[in-house]
Amino acid sequence: MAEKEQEKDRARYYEARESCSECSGEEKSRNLTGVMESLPDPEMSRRAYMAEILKKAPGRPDYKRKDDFIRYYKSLEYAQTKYENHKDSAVIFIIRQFPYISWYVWGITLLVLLICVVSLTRPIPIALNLGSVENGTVIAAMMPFVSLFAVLESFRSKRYGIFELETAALYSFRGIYFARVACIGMVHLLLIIFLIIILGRVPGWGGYMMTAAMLTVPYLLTAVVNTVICRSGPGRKDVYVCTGSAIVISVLTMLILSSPDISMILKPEIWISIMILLAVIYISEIRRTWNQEALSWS
Amino acid sequence: MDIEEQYDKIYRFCFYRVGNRQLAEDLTQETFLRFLDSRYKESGKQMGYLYTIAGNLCSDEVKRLRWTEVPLDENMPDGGRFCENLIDRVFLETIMQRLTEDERDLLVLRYVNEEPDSLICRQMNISRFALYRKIASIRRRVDQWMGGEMYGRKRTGKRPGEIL
Repeated sequence: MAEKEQEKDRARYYEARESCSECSGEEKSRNLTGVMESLPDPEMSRRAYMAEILKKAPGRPDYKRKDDFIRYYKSLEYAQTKYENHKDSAVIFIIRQFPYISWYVWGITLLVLLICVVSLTRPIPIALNLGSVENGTVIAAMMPFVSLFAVLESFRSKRYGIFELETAALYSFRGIYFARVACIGMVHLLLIIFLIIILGRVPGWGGYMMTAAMLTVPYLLTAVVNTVICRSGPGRKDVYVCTGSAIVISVLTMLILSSPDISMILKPEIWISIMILLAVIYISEIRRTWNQEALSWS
Repeated sequence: MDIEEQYDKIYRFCFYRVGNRQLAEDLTQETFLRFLDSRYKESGKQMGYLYTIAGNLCSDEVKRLRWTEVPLDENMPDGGRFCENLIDRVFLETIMQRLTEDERDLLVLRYVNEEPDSLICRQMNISRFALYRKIASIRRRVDQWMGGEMYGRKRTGKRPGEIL
């Protein structure tokens, strides 16, 4: 339909043009009255004419719709600016999380540190009535509990049922999770470094690398297992399962490290390989937890 | 530049891409929302960024319309019914049908939105000389298509009625 109209207009235009070439003067003007009314201002330059036609064609956007949209857009812009201004840098955000970390996380860290310091002066196994077990073995067996509290703290929001609230808050769950893991991770890293320095000097532990592996493997293994449990578990009851797994890993660590036969089989290379493997798995688990928020929304 | 002015410019740009007022308004609003989502940091290229978003959205929309076989308005804004004036209509129809998309964009940016040459060059990824050459070529062709008489009165110095 529109095509036909266009064709008709075009034909009319060319017809008028042709007819004008056959007549002259007033007759020409009379014949073209309809067409000539629509001609542009004679003083207008071709460029201005083209601009005018091109400007005129789209018309103006619907005023009300435009006005409503601009109001809405400005409110969004304002909210975004407010959010941007309110948002801290990652480091400040992580530092701000320290006061919110539960006391038991720092408590267990401090306890391990204390035991390590005490072990410098007297053998702990004798004090704990553990027979011939070394100081380092006791500390390594405590590492799963250090890890347990760290993981439980990271998933505190899920445990208390405020997971969904945090996903809708200014700081998302992934942000909070990252900050908590970073906070606790930094402190635990310092703790492990301190322990490695202290225990690595003890003869019979195979040097600093071996000490690092012996301390880190139970820690990372507990972290991986508990992260999987907390992420996929129902919530509150996860604590018991996680505690159980930490106890099992702790006992296994104690048995492996105190048994001379197994210690002979597990060479330092194997310990270090396991440590690296567990570190990689733990990072991937953190990433999966990090992405959980996006998955839960979709 | 305030948002009202930007809105009008983007609207006109979209209009010449899709040829429908309603759709052009929808795309304009979508452009602004995407712009906000992108968290653009001010670096003096806001308008160019808006044109890029709008251009991409329009291309997608045109493709979608073709895919769903919904006819576009015969390559003509609102089927040519927006212009009461006969000659204007013929002129616009010629521009819409015979010029390429890039050439139309160039005309819109230059004559309708009156954007600076620097922005147009950056947007179309051409040099300033190429821009002038393209504009001259477009004007020459439009002149040719329209027979040279429709806006030639000043040039010929003839009175209305003697022009055609």
